[in-house]
Amino acid sequence: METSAAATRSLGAESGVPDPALVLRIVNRDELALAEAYDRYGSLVYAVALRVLRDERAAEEVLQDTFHRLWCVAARFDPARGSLPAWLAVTARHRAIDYLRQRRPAGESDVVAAEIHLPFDLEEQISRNGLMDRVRGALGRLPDGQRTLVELAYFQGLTHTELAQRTGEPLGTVKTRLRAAMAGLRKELTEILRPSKK
Amino acid sequence: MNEHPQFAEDIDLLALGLVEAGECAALRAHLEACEPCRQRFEEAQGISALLLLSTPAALPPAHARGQLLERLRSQRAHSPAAGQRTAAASPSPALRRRAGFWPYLGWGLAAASLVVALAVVLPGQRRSEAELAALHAQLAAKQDELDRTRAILDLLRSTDALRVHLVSSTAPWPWPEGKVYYQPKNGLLFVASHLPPLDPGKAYQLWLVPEEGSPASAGVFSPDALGNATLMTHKAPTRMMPKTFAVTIEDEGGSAEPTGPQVMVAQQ
Repeated sequence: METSAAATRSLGAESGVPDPALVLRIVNRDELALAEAYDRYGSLVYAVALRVLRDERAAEEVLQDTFHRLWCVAARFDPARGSLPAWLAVTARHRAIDYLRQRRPAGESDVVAAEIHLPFDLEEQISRNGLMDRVRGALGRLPDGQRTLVELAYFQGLTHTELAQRTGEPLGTVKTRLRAAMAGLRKELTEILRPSKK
Repeated sequence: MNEHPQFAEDIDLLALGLVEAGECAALRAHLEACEPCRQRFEEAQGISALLLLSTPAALPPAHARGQLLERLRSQRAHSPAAGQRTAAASPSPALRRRAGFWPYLGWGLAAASLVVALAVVLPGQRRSEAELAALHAQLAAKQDELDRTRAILDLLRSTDALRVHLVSSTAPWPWPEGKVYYQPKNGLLFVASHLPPLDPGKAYQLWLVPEEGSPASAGVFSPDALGNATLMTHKAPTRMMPKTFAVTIEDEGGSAEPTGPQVMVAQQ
């Protein structure tokens, strides 16, 4: 059975100090704490970067930059309002997309800076058996056109305009399909997230 | 039901990172003021994060961890205000890769300076034979270092080198893992991480395991304090193309054949 990056991550989290304490040590310039964070979430960050970039060398650069970013801005990270793996994953995605945009001639970026404030305990949710299968299942049940757009937009960083060019669909249709896709995901996945909402 | 349908649709797109910059400011201002919409946005962010977290696992290269820590140490060492929380950006690995000849330039300059010393400065100052011999030895050592670095680079760049990922199936987290780059012509490079400390008198030993016959040793090695280790051989230990690779724990000097516990083996 395929292992998700999140499942790998959760194994790491179980073996050491809680994430908030780890972040606090990083704020206090403890290199070993950053190494511990890397051991827990390095494979997650690398997996996300690799999924976006499909290039091992580029993904490795994003991996390094993401943890370097954590080192630099850990003091701004609020564990009470966010999840460290989610922050790292979203940061890795944004960095990877920035990397892609540097390669693309039309480098206009409309990617919004990552701010992850989650009202639920993502750690607890991730550790649930089968959660990742449900996420993949929810993606898989989207109509092909919607799923493709989500993949292109979220994992390849294409803008609305680029999506319209790639698919040959009008811009309005692209936005409508993306909203429908998100509505479909929301319908299935919010049910997973809500039970532990604080 | 959401009371602000005009924002509801864009909230989902914002969570996907797809709202144009011009539209973003108004939406964010609304989120600051509207609790239901902010809650919807946070849920959408959670869904977006789940999409990322469901990504199939991929193990980063074994050397990446050490490079990251080295980058931090280097940054700290070169920062006039070491310990400041807002760290200045240090060159990214890619930037360092793009300037990949600089390390060679460093060695080259060191070697060249020694040559200059030998050819120009020394005759003028009438250095002794002993000094001359010492500088020759230094030059030879630098040349040897340069050759080793070139050999590693040749192996990494080689398109026909065998690249094999070794993992542990039994050790607890963090699992020991390693990567072998092997080419009979250029030798073998093995990089490992998360290796547990060894008992005194013991060493790790890397083996090339053939389809038939006895495994061939590629050498013994010990991890550093962080559990990282590197093993490089310039000459292939055997002419055969191995079926797999494995690491065992043996006595410090190495063993003629695997006898100790297996630490990791090539991923099938």
